Amino acid sequence: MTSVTVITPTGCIGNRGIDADVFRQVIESEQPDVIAVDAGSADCGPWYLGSGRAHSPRRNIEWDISVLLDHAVSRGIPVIIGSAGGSGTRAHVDATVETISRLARQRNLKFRMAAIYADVDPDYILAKQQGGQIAGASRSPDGAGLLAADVRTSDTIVGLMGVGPMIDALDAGAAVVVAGRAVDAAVIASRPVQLGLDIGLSYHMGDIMECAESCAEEIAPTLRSRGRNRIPIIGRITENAFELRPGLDTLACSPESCLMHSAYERTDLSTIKVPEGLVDRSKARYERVDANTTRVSGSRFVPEPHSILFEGVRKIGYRSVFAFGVRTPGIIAQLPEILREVDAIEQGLFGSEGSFRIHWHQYGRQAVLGPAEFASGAYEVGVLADVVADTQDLAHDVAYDLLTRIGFWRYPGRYTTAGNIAVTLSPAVLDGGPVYEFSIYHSMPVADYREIFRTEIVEVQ
Amino acid sequence: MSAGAVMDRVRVLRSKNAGPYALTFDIVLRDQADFERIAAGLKAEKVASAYRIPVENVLGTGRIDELSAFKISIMRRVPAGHVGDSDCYGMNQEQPLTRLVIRLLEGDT
Repeated sequence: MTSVTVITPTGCIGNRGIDADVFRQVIESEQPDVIAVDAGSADCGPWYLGSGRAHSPRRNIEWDISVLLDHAVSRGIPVIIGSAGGSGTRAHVDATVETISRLARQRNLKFRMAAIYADVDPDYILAKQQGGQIAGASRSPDGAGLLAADVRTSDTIVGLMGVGPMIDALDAGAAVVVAGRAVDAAVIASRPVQLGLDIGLSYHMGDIMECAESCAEEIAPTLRSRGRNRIPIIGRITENAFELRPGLDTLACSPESCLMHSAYERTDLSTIKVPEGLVDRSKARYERVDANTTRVSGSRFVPEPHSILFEGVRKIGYRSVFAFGVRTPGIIAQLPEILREVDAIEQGLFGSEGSFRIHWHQYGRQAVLGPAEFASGAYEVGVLADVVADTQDLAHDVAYDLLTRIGFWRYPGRYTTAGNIAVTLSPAVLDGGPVYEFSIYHSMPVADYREIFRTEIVEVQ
Repeated sequence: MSAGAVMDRVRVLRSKNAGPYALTFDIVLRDQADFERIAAGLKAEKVASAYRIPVENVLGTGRIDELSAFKISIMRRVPAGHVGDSDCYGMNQEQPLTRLVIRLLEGDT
């Protein structure tokens, strides 16, 4: 009977750090067929996809990659990294390839590495245009259509790959696969599928273990006191079932914790949409094997025409921010009106130099929930002013002008004639650079994934 | 009964992004009867009213009977990380739903 063991050492490369001792122990005891790990997400917002920058600290990324090199690559165990670098663009993949190459050379390791690029040319999508709409494109999860204009104004577009490109890279003899944007579960599923196991079951396993120990519960307090506290999950899959357990005995993959992770970050509980089809897990069984282990079986794969989810962002301007607090009852009461008034004055003063918008986060007054807030009353309010303008220079000047204008605004009943607000920082205004927003989050039929995903081989020596 | 005591009957009540355009909420009850009360009472209209959004922006529901868990999702007012969004990961949007769940558990529908 074919049995494939996958170890996922962390939910995201660079995120809090892999516990190296636990990882080494499970590598030695399990002799896994692959290490499969995700490195990215759209969760952190559009900026990372637009900027090509990482959302994890460089020190943590280098820590995790060093752990993978020292304990897996050095033993000849294949390593697959998906959504490399944070958002899986060419810049993210190249940065990851560079880091791996540099750290590998320091260790005198030699191996074949595959870089899979997930970047999409807007013209590829625009070719499917019909009357200003992209045919067959459907936004997740509400099914909204995609305008050709939204494709044209996108600065960066990536596609989320399924198992195909990663299997091709393994078939080409890659010891390390650095994949651009990928479906989290596909990173884990690709090696079992390559070795002949069921694609639906492999995806189902990947879907539960993609966030490493997040799918496990603590039997005894374990994680909070550890610095590098990402703990591996071991997935062992056969023809008709898979078993999951954590790398530490004080954690457990219970039927409940595995089911609970199935609900994480998704609207649909019964199916998982993947590029190759649909994983129907409505009849899946979750059985406890021992104190730490759960066996899952019974999910069913429903093939569908191959489709890809595309993520795109566009640059909308440049940001400057400043923060201040107010404690005087009079200005707390009048602040919403004051902010509206200074906003209008600012447009009159600088509107001819370019467009800009100001969003006021008023902490203590509906900042977190917005119009859904039901509580009222604050003894102090913290304001984060978010100014986004056509240029950095304009955003910066509008922000400073706003700060002094509010600081010395003569509101009715004012007795604080030396100034109104508690300015948090010096310099008061921080420039945040380019600002992005999502422009595409749509699935589309794609007959052959090779139309999108391109692989380059790098020999590390 | 105080809100704290009612919330002792709730194991999990959480919010999170489901992609940049949607928020999804998971509610896990400790007790089968409470689960049925929530599953029956948590109508789209009530959730729409709690979040002050149109009812068509409430997406489907789901349940995991083995866990006494119930899911409901909504479209975001502002997509994640766009200018004006206040909760990029959607991790702290559960309070209006929490208030609704407390009312349902107290039998005040």
